[in-house]
Amino acid sequence: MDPTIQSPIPPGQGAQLTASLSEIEAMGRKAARGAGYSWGLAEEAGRTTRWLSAHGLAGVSCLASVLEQVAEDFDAHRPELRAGIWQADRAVCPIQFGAIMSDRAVAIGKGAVVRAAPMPSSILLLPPLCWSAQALACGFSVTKGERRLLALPSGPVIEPLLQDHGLPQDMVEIRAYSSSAEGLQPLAQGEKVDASVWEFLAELASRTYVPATEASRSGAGAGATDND
Amino acid sequence: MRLARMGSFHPTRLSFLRQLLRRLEAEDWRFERRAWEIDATGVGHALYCVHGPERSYTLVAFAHDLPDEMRSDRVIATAWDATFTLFDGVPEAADIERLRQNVPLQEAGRVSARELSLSRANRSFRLFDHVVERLAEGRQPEPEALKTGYLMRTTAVYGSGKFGAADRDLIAGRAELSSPFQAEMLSVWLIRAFTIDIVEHLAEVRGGEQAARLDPEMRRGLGVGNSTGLGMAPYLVNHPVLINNWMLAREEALARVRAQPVAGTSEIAGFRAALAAAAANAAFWDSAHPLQVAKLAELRADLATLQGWAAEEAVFAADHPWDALWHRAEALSLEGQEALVAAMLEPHGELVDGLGQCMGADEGVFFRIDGAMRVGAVKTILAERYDWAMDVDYAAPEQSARFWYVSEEKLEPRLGERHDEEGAELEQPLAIGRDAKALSAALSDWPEEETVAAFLLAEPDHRHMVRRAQIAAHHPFAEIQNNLISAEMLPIDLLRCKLSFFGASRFDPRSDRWVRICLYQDAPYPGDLLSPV
Repeated sequence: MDPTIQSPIPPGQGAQLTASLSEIEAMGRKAARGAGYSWGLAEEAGRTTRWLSAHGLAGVSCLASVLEQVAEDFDAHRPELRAGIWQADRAVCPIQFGAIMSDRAVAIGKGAVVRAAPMPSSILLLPPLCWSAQALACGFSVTKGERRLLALPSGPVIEPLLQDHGLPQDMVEIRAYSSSAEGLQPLAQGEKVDASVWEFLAELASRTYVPATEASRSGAGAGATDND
Repeated sequence: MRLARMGSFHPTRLSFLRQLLRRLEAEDWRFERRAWEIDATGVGHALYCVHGPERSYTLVAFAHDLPDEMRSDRVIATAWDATFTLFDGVPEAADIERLRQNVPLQEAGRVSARELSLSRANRSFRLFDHVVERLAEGRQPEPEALKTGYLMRTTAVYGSGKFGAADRDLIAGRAELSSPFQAEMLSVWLIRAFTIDIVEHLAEVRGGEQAARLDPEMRRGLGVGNSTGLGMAPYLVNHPVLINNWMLAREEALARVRAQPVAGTSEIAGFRAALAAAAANAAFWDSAHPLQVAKLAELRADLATLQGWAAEEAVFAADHPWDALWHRAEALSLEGQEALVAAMLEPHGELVDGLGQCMGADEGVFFRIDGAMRVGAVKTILAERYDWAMDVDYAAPEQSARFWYVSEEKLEPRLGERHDEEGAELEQPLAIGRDAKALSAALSDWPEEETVAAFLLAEPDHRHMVRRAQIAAHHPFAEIQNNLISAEMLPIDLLRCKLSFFGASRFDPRSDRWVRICLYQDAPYPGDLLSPV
């Protein structure tokens, strides 16, 4: 029996699948684009997700939880500086905010303190700040709730916060931070993902696809028969 | 870097399949066909292993019995004559069973991080059956029939994490896989051995004791065919640092050869031999496509001219003879000039082969936008690196005639007609020239001393192009300097450029957007190049 004709139940369609890093990056980029991000920001969403997955930090589910909100009303999550705090009509989008922080990393490195609220999934800020830490050879801290994330030139560090920082629960604060601690190293292993989460992202990604026409098919590759 | 020249590239000794074979030979890799469990109907599996100083790799080949009417090279096909994966190491029985459940399904299946590639191939219907029939009768095929150049052609060779396979990051640190596409090139080399084995197997089934083996000369002249469509085209645009490094290696190689003050005897002989081989290849190189027919005529004439020059002793007695040759060739066609590049590099292995190490790239290193850069600096980059884009009137219908998109049907890149088809609002970001000009216009109102951070906060839609511009500032070959949405643009030029870096030959465009090629034609087989285990 030839299995190419029989098409047995496609494997990997169970409750979970292991996505490779390049699949994660591509899915993150396309899903973000489908959710309304510009191409440049969508690329950042893809890279950010990949980086978190590579460091064992569940990038795919973090991204999905953000896109679930943002896809409903993109503009309502766009960060704006209001009265010294980055805010949005609804929760601040961490993908867009991460890009803004990366763009302003030099100023933060020189002492500027940045706050944003309300900020969900602040772990998505780690990748762009780690890239900035490497490029500028300085570190950053991301403080929110009961933990502090460190973006260091050596990689990310996640630590519980022992003293009260006095910030509201949903506010994130970013500032320069110097530490010689060893950061987490990437494993390049991909991420085990719930099929339902992956399908949600695939659904967003499908918003970027164009339905095929006969004209596009006939021009894309070989003709109807290749028996020569 | 223009499309017309990229569409005239020939394979060189820096091409990725050449790099692979050089390494396997130099490091004394071993080869074994570890299993051949294929029945009389041609169905089953085979294992082809190569063993290096540190690691082994195995091509797991599944042979199928495909009815003729199901054979299609289109990416939308769902069944093939043979399917393959490159396994990291030597597979156990359980691995083979897992792969048997998945590899034959290709995109509909799932592989794992133990696999480095996923591919499939179809028989070249006429040649394959002819060869089986002849060998079964104890005879050799008609030499004319072998003009096809291959018994089977691959219709996709996926690597780098596709469909669950190992991510590039996992293997990029291995010396043998650090150059681009080495796992894919190894897959195809081993597939080539399979295509010969399966044809001889079927001949033996049919002819029994009287069946012949394929004549070694004929065997060597057969490569693996490949059909490549638009799916490959956006790759070069989406990997600006990588393509920069490919071009830079090539240009540096050419510059090193041209800088030689004298030509050595063995280099002259090697150059003449390379031109003769190129002329022989061009004589066999067949295409029915009007564009390529015209280019082939130019190439054959230019190769004859070049061979004439190479026969003049005075040419090599001149000061800096290679540089003089290169300048003299400026009168030739692009096909001829590029054939000369390949022939000039050929006898200079010691001078240029090390550059193969510089052809990989980690795009991630250059991904971060420098938000502290001043707007004035971006304007300068645009003026210096994107001048080719600024004079185009993108509002003119012919200059925005096309749009690149991803098809819902197969998730493959396609090219649409903007003014006739729907979907342009879902365009992929490949219209670099247009986007560069739009960025330039958006920046014109911004003060020079303002930061990129401030500009991108106000204009997030330009983020993609600002990143490209910052990359291009440090990578002179990052951009293809043509309008990629023009009515005049030929996607086959992009395909040929990339395929020539793979090491492909006999480019045979079947339209302006897909091409057939041959890999490993006239190259040694694993059993010829490598010692047995």
